[in-house]
Amino acid sequence: MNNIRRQYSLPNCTLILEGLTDSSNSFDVRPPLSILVHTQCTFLGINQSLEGGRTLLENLAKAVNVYAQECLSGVHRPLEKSTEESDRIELEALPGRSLHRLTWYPPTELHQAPVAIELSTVQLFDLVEAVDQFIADSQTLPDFSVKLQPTSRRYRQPDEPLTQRAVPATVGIISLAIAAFAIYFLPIPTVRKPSNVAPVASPTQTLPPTNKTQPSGATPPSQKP
Amino acid sequence: MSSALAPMSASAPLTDSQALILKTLPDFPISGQRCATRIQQQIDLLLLAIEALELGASEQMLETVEQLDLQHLIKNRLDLWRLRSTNPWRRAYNRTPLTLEQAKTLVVLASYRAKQLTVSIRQLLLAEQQMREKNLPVANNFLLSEYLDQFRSHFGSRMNARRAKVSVYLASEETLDDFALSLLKQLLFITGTTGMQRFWVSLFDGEVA
Repeated sequence: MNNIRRQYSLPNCTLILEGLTDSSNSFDVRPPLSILVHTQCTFLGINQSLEGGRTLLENLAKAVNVYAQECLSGVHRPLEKSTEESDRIELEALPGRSLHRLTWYPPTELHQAPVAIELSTVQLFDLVEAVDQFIADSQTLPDFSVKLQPTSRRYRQPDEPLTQRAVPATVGIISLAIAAFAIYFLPIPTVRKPSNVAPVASPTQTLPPTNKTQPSGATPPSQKP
Repeated sequence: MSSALAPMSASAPLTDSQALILKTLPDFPISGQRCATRIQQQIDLLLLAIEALELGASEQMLETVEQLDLQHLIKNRLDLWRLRSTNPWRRAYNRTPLTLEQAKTLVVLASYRAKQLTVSIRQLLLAEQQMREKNLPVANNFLLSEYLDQFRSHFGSRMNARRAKVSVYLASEETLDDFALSLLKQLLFITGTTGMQRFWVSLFDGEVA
């Protein structure tokens, strides 16, 4: 068993993983880190850091992966319920300030207050990249992976907010109600039956079309063969 | 002549390598193997941001296509333009939707170009952060103003102002600048180790069941 330390350094973020290998091959130049003992994530210029074990690393990797995808597509996907245990990591955008807040809830037995860190986009990207490099590293926790998958349709925000989409329907219903109310006060028209049912003049008789141009009682056309 | 002939003679073994690049991007169960207009729009806008970042970007893109051996999908400048015109915001909107293979090619192209531009993307975003911390308008920074000017002129000359969303952006310089910066942030995330895959997957966010 050898002690191994893996460091993923980006300009603003450093992820340090310490652990052991169970590889029997002692001549391995870079033996696989298969048992994780300690995780540390620090940011340049920020005093607070994240420290913990494998749960922290797993939760961090999952949260970062989901959030990075959210940054690209803008579709918010709530984290799965399984991450509600200790070492929960939450990432959220701070509106209007182009900052992101990372919140770490340490395990309850440590009795520590949650750690909230505000990250700029570049700092956040460095965190994403450090985690990505660790996941891509086949010699560090080879059994660990995070699946990239598109967010389901049900989390998609509609292009227009509900209030805006409801406007046409509401206007329609209201105008119908107003019209119905106005028409309610109109007197019901009384049906007036025609006073003299007998026809004034008998309907004109239509003549056959051939006789139309000729005066009545004229002789039949002479051109007829 | 020799440069034109070289890829022709080597095209048979190269088809495998280009297929491999596209195979790193998974397929998703979407209806009809054609892309939604939202996907096409997103890809074209990111390419537009890349164009605003570097001069002669379209030549660089065609060179990248050659390096990646994707010429059978994008043969020349016209092909590239035609594929990009599937963005419904464009003046010359091409209504034939992209096939998944074409969309993947554009995604690979955008990711490779973005990777080359990592340094300037980071510089611009750091400058933006500094300007925001000092409560100064972002356009006052000369690096940022160059990018924003380029983006504004590209956007204005190519997008159809009669489209509602486009007209909103064209009406206010500030809104368009914010939009250009949001595209820049997306480009940053594409430059990473799994940026290309993540970008591809993110295009299908909200599209799959």
